[in-house]
Amino acid sequence: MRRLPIYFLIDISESMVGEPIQQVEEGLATIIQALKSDPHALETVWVSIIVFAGQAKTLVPLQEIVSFYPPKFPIGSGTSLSKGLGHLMYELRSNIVKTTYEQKGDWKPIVFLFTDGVPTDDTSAAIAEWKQNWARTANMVAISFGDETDMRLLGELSNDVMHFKNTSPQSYKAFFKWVTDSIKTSSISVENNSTGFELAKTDDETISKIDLSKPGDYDRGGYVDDNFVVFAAQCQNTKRPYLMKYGKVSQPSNFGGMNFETRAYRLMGAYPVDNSYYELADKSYENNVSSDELIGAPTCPCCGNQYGLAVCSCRKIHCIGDEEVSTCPWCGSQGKYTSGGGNGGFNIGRAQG
Amino acid sequence: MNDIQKYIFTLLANQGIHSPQQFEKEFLEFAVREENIKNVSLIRQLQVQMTQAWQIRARRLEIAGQYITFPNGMAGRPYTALFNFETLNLTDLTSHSLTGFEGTGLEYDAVTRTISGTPDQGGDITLEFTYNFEGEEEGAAPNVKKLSIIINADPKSLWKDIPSDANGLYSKPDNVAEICQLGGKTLVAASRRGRSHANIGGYRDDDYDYAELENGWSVIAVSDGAGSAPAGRKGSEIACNAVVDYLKHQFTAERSSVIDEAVSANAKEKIKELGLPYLSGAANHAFEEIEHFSREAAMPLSNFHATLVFALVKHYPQGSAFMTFSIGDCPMALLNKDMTEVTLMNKLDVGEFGGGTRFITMPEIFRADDFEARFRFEFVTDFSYFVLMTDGIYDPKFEVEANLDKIERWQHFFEDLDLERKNREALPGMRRGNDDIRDRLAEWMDFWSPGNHDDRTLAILF
Repeated sequence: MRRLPIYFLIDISESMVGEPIQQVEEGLATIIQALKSDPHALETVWVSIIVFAGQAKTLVPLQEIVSFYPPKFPIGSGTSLSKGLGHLMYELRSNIVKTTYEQKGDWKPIVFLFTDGVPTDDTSAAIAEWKQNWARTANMVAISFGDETDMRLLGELSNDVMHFKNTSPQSYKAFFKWVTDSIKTSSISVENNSTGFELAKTDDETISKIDLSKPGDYDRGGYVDDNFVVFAAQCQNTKRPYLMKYGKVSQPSNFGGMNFETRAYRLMGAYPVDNSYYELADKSYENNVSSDELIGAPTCPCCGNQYGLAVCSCRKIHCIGDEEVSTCPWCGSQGKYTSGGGNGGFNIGRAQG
Repeated sequence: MNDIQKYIFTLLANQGIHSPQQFEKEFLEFAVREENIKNVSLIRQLQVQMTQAWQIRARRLEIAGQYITFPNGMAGRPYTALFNFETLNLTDLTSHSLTGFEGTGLEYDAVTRTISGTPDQGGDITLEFTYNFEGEEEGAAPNVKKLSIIINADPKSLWKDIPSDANGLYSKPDNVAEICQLGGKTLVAASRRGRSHANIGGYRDDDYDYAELENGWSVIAVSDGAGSAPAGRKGSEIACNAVVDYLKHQFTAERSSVIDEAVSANAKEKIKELGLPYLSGAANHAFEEIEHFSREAAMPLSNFHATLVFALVKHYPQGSAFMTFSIGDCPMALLNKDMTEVTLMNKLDVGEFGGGTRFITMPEIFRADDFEARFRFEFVTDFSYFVLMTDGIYDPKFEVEANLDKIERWQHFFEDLDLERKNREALPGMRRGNDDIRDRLAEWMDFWSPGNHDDRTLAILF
């Protein structure tokens, strides 16, 4: 029998922390569950999950859906789409069986790319390689989570760029149902000897196809994802890493009778992550945001300390409680903290998002 | 300094108090006073308690967040899984239980830590894992964690068998099988709707037809309507009927007698040359008939895409003549008397990623350079079986083209088919003879093969 390989290439950069990654985790479990009730898909579909942040890795190697067990998704620092693509192409090269006189090959593989931001590295070489070697032998669907993705870049990779407006748990449900239906129709159409790739109809409410031929604000550049500010921190008590996520808001500010929009970030939450965070992080990077632009501060999600955003002289972040003397879990130095008040706040090293 | 003195010295130094160095003698005295010895030991006890309390809390969090999985099972198949504390690093558990197996067909033995049984239906089994671990107080409330086992449904149980609408457009019977005498040999043929069509109450896309012609010739045609073509089932039907019809009218005794002369003279090239116009005429006629029908129905020709293979056959005292035409991916094969050699009568049209086949409904094939190569002629002194099949049989039973060349695959194929039911006791009351062969074939056509649920058509001349 022929396999229909489905690859999920998933952005697990810090900006995905919290609700999006939980939804993706649950969403993939539901996709597989739904596919299991469809006899065509159950017998033909094989699934693999590749995740990328600053680094890329195979979370689930290509396998039949009957042996699939929903994985736990890690979170990493950075959005290295080029490493993600590179790893995907390596996996395709290693796993895809081509039809020859002696063996029955796979159906054309389908890749679902989920990303929510802007790559933090140069993707041109990886995209060129994809176009040259894989664009004809695999089908790619690129899905932007939210409004801030570099659509034009995704358009270079795929003719199917979808925009998913992740506004509510219902919209996630609708979105994952759309992915499931696309896989189901493909698994049936391959049997009918057609090209074997048919996306399900979209409702345009939660997911819509992007027409890149129309003008729009698609160009985004720079190597830091500016829609979110994410700080990587370590808990003083448990030494565990955690992330604090702030989402961009515009706030009007009145200055000398004139209205200005200023950039600010509102706290979305703080989340403990496991040590795989360091494994998937891009270490070569540093960038700052001013504390004045931040609204709200979380408590530590690992030990409950009242203040989760203290910056040590080593410029790393950890939590502090009401102890007189704090010890930085990163560098071990000790000190007393005062609030960074006064003029202009202070700069905090942010992660790439 | 003794242990106690060291302790107090360090305690003071930690707070930046360095006077013990200045007043060393007094400090050493101070440090060994009764109440200080008591206090240090108390502090140490409290520290140990605090550390332990934290360690227990951290361990509790650790286990609660731990990713514990069991292998997936399948409904109706025996299942065993070990709850392996060693590999899961849970050797510090002092007691545990795993519940939630009611009505699942599985059970858990806490002594051997084994889950076993036969799950009776697909779905996710959610289990409650309760446990205590070393270090917790006597009688501490058990910790609770949800675990799950995924049970897959048996794929066979998911396929529905919905009859097609007998009054619908271009309807045809879902399953047919027949046996007849054809030109002095026996033809047994069956065409069965695949599970993918049965699952949605769709129609069979495959078709076949055959006829005795004048002067001892006969024709057998097999066609597979493209699943992606909305009226492929009609295309295959028209193709088979058109070929048979054309040869009935065109390949008359008068016209075919010259071929008999060529056979007597053993002039093989001549036989081919004489037969070719009729074969290509029949293929052309199939195309024209479908084209005509599509115009009448006001549908694009591509709605009727279908493959087509057919063979003209005649048996002489010195052997048998086979003339064939082929477009698409339906293999035709000829097996010699003692089943030691197979001769393939066509080369299949296949693409790199599947779905690259060609159809009789493509006008360009008649103009293509390889059109001549679609015709084949064989004269054999003896044969045991002549077989025509659609990809619904070929895919599961031969997988790839390379295997069609291998005689052992064919030997195995006929053992598996077991038309004569050699491998089993004849059922009581079962009819013997030809009907039995037909029924046996019809029954065999329903074989199970994962991922292969296309329509199946098989015609065997023997």
